Amino acid sequence: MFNKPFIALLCLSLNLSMLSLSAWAQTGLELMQQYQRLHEVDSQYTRSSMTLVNKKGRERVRTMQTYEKKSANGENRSLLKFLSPKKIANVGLLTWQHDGDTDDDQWLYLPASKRVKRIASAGKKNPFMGSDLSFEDMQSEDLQAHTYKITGEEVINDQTCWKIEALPATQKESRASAYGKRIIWLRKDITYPVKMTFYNRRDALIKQATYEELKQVKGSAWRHDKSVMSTLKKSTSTVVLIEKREIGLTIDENQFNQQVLKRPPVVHNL
Amino acid sequence: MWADGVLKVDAAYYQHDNSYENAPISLEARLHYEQNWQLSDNTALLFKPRLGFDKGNLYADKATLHEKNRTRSNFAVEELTLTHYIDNFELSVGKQVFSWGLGDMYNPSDHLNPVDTLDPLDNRKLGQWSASLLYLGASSNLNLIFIPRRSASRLPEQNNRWFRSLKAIQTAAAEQLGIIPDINLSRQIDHHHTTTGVQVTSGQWLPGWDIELSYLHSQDPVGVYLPEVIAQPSATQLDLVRVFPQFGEASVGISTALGEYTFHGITSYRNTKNNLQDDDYFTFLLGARRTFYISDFELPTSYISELLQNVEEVTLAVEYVKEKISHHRDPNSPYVNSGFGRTLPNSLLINVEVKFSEDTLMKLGLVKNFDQQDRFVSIELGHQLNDDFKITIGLDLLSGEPDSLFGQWSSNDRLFLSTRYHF
Repeated sequence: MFNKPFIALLCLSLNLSMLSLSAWAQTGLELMQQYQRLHEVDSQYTRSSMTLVNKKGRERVRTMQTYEKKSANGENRSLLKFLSPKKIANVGLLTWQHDGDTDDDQWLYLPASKRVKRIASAGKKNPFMGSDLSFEDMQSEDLQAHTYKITGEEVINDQTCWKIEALPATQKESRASAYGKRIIWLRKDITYPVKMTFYNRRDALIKQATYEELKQVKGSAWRHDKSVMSTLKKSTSTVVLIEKREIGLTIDENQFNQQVLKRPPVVHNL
Repeated sequence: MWADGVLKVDAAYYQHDNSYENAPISLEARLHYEQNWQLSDNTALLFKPRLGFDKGNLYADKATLHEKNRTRSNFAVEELTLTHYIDNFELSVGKQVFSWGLGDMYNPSDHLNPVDTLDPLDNRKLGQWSASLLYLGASSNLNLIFIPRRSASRLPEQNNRWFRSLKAIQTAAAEQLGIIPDINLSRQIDHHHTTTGVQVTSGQWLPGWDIELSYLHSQDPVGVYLPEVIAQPSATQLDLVRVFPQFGEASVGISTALGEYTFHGITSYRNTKNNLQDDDYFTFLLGARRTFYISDFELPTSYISELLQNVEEVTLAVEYVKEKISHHRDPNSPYVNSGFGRTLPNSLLINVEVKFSEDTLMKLGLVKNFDQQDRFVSIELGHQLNDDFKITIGLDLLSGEPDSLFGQWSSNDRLFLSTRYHF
């Protein structure tokens, strides 16, 4: 399904969202499957800003654009380019996300060397460009790698939400992920996440995310225009704001290519 | 429209006197600018000029469009490229800089552009007037490159502290002539042959692997010397005429990621057309890279772990390069190497980056040549004062026997200060 590789980044997506809970959606997994089915899109372009706030309140802003597409084999591909600040402008990241146990393919383009390098995607728990987001926060939800359990209901911002506990279901996921547990709050009316908390393997709360400014973007698909991820121990946060979004672009799959990663961000002819 | 400008000011202090250039402090300022225009949905123009000055001997020419001169120009257009996109094709015409190869630090197939080695520790590619056609296929990409008249690499001359000693050649000539001749380097045989290159890359032939195949037909931009004795009334002069051997070079590179590591390997074979001028040889390269995130490790309480608390991540990259000659140059060949080509015959390259924060990064570099036991060590600490301004201090140390690559420059140990301002 398309939802995320870097959607998440832009949207800080974690595109969790689902249908309004119908009577048959009784388990956490069924809710997550429903969410993926309802909110998937074939392609998406986003331009966003990412503000890093340190514990002293100092802010640093990065802007970026991302193209995403569901490939012919159903896997997600994304191409991200930083637009600012100047020191990282034109740095690019290409991701081919694979389902199941296969590691994702990732390449990084550094303009100074004009060279595209394959990078190890196994370190998905590591921070992305100094932000509070890790690579795994930006990937689409892998339903095969987790178990989901509805643990109750809670009202957040006047909206009733399902509360779902997500745990790693495979040994590989347990090793690769920084999280021993996540709690996801899904708005019942639109089945979209509004909050998520992240726990380490010792069950200590380490991060928290909120998803705000929700919009219905196409058919049953919703997205959030603002997300805030906070790392509690470091007292830092990362705010992602979507400045522009286009759904259903015509993008050739060949454009998610290491050579295209070298193009300057001015070229929008994907 | 997308633009990027950077002003760089570099200063260095050399601890030792140097017989070629006795100036303990060097100062160079460069203004780089890059402008990208989207002329239409399918056409883009890149313009990348550079202004540069120094208080030494690096710059002597006012301006140039073709990087043919032996010194740097105060004004140069580094790149000027018009690119048109048609379906899966990308055609680029103009002055271009190319990068081939899957290596981290060294790429034995990356010989499309000549380089400016006036400061060999900071060598830069010289843009070339050329045409490039890229085809983006479903499972692989094809890139054809044509350079009608390529310029030569810039080598340090006798007024430059990086000038490579020619005493061995001078001594050999003196034994034959009975007197020590003066050396003259002013003559060179210009490039006459076109450069053509073809490269195929794929990330899909083998899932999880990148593969790069390339072939280049060109003239070596560094070249070799042909000694010619010129008898003059007052003295005997030895002209070292720079000649650029034609060669064909085929390369295969692979790269993959295994867990937290990435690995790459490159093999290239160079066949020199005239075996009087140079050897035929293979180059083999193996490399690995890994980033260690300190938060991943549970460190025992110790002084070192206290220090590591201040480190976010450490990236280690290692490459080993080995050259194997398959066909030696004719033993009676009069040609001799300039010393700036084939510099890594049996060498280890290590690069360590220690990231203390988003703003502060320390780099440690090592190049060790095992055959001549010479080495180059570089240490630098960079700090980003804000998103636009960065300051770096560092140390370059060179050592080895006087006739080795780095050993000959052992008087060029330097402390440097570098500033970058993005606008």
